Amino acid sequence: MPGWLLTVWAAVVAMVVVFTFLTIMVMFSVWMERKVAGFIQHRVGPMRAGGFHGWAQSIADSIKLLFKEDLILIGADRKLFQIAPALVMATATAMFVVLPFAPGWQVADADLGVFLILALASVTTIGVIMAGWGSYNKWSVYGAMREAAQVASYEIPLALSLIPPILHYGTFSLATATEAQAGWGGMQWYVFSSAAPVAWLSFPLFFIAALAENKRAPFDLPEAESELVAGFHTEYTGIRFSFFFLEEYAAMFVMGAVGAALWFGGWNFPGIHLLEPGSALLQVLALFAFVAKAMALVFVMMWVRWTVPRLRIDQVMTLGYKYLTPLSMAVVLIAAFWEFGLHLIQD
Amino acid sequence: MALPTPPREPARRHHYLGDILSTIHSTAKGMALTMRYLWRKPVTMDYPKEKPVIDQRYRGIHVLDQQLCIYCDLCAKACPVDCIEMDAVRHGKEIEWKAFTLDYQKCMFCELCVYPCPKDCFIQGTEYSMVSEDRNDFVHDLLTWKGLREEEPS
Repeated sequence: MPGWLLTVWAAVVAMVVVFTFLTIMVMFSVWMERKVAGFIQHRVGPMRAGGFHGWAQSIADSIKLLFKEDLILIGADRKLFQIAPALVMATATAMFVVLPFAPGWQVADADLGVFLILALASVTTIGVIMAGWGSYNKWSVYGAMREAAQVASYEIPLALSLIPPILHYGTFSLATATEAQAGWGGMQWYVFSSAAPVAWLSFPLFFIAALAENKRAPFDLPEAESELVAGFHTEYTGIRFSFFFLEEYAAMFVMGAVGAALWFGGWNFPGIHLLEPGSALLQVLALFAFVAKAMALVFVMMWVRWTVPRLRIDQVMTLGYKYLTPLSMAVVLIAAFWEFGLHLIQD
Repeated sequence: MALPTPPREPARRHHYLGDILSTIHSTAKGMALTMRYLWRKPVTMDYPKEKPVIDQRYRGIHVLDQQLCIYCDLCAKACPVDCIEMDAVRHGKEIEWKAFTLDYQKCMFCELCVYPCPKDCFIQGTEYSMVSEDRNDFVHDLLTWKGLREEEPS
């Protein structure tokens, strides 16, 4: 087999694996979101489809979405309208490439993994703005403009709040950072490490900024159902709409996974040092630990969504510019001095 | 003439750290509340599998006690929307029933048909579910038998 064919083959396999995982994970997340929403409001959520607690509800929903008519308004900017969901979906899928699911189970160990995720997350925003602008709908334009206004206020805190763990581990690679947290029987996570106070300061900032990045409540102004119909995806139907839906939950998982990998030890779990490195059991348990940690953070995002009401746009800007940005800068400074102090002690 | 401006309340003073702390405090309070609610028992009912308890006074689908009915037509006369139709032939004391129908497309469940009944044979039951894809199914036949009784009631 020639070299280039091998590369293409590997890419196809990786694509299929990532896309399958993403689809199943998103279906599970949607079901989980509805269940969490239900239980918080003393309801039960979906109960019919599939038998046990409506586990097949998402499958039924996605089949329904696939069979829906694909509509494009006459006045819409067809090119923007058609490219936007594809762009959003492509970036959301591409973010999965650098996630370290288990030792060695990573599509590409990019040296700048964290940076790549930040960059792709920003491209998603462009897709949202394209969708809103191309829809020929005033609500969509409002949603897109809100997203554009919002993006600047949280991108900086998001990037800055990722610096403390990067400083601590001296790498942008998620896999390397995860391996560095394997000590103490798999419990030397960043939040328990020698830089724990900095970790606990930076994680809330990261989490809030990640909520805003994913357009999740209380920062879901671009889609704000009660004000803007459905914001930027008002005019989307069928599979194009499902792309935006997939993107939202995929991005949630990615942000949860980044949080898990940098702060909560990624695939490490207590007792990982007892297992033989590279054994099947370790790989599976590591995969389970990683996905469980990421899903736990996704659960917190859902919990926040069903607790906190949506902010006004000026409140989002105030939070972003006046509070998150200065605080994340302060945390970066504290982290820098902390790491410097750690070096002095160790040397 | 310009109206006098009402005296303004002094603007609330913002304290940077105080605002952050109060935000964290209130958010944490809310999150704790929803987390408590998450574990509570749902108040909803799994409807088709689990039926609600209906009070006896509920005005549901009508029930006719055909043994007692004397074909006085008072219920049909009382009905504001004329949804009750009945037809019978008297043979002395015996009544030969032809029809007694109630059109639930018109019926508004006002219970006015129940009050005038001299024999208290026409009441509204607790049955509430009536679903069909055909309009004609809502013209409900309340008779349990037609014509003359085949045997004496015991």
